[in-house]
Amino acid sequence: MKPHICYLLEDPPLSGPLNMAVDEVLLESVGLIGHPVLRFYTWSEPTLSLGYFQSSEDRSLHAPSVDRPLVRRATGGGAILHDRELTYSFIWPSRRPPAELECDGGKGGEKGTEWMYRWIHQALIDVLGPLGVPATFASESAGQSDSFLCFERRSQWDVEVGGMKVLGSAQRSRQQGLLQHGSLLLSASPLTPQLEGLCEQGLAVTHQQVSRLWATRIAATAGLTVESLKLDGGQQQAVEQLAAEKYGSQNWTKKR
Amino acid sequence: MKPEELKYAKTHEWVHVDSAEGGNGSMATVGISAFAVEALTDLVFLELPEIGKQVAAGDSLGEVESVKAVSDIYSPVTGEVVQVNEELPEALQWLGEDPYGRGWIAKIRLGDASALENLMDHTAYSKLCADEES
Repeated sequence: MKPHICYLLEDPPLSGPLNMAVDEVLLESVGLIGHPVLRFYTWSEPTLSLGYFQSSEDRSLHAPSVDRPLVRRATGGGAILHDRELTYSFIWPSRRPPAELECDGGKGGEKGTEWMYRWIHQALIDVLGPLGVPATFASESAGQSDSFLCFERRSQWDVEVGGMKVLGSAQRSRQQGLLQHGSLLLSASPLTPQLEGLCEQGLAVTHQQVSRLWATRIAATAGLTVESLKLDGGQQQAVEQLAAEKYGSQNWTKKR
Repeated sequence: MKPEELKYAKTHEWVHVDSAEGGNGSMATVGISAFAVEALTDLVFLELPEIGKQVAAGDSLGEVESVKAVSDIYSPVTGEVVQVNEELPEALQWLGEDPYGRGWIAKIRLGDASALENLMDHTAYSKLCADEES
């Protein structure tokens, strides 16, 4: 069945393990749902997340956050200090893009599952422009590829405003679908003052304002209708179990 | 190994079965296809399975990261991991340069051989790849 709905899940602030567990449960169940799910969320306290292959010992490379909670993501890339940001996840029930993206005559040039970076990130660029914030895809030469923090790195599909990276994402691919999640910096965190957000670029918006505009644009690109979603009892139970047994466990967090 | 002589899973792993190599059972050498390596693009990390791990066909055998995307490598066979290509994580270019040779990932002593019946020959796998590209 061709997806025609984009389910929207808006969560209250949650802990790192719960946030990561919700994303994994959505990825595991997207085949049954049959339609993509777009989730917006924030964090109950400033939390450092590690990329899947990063070493937990390397958190000492970022001294201001060493006493903050730590969680390991299932996705790649560098560490993120989640504080004054809007976090999203997008779960698509296939590794193939929707037909609208394959023939939209857009920037193109992406390989593998990069089409999802382009889709979601271009939608944000499209939203920010009319708000007076000219955003672009990043210049890869602007960052250090080996930096511990994601927002000090640059890759082709990152989004920049005024030379500052404001949006970065990462993916987890499974047989049943593709998860992409990412962070939009709304303003600089006191723990990472060098990483400016939209506020420092002159745009003071709430996460509710930007998430509604962004969701509408993401859905419209692929001809989808936005409908709200809540997790059912079984999914909620799976989230709590996964948060306790996997994302909240030292075995997972310190697996490297 | 010649790609034409291998078996393939729909998740893009290849298998070479050698009944003489396995001692008490047939040995399967497993890797990922050239098509998969190209789709994954710039690989930066690879995690190998642990020796002694029991896997069923379809279980995760390892993981790779490319362009901030983490993907599973699935075992195409059922059995016990008895050897891994320990040099490969530090020589990921082998996956692109020689995916059916130096880019092998693991050797698995076959348990239940029935999973082999679900694998494709090279002709069928080439058609799958063509379908995925279209």
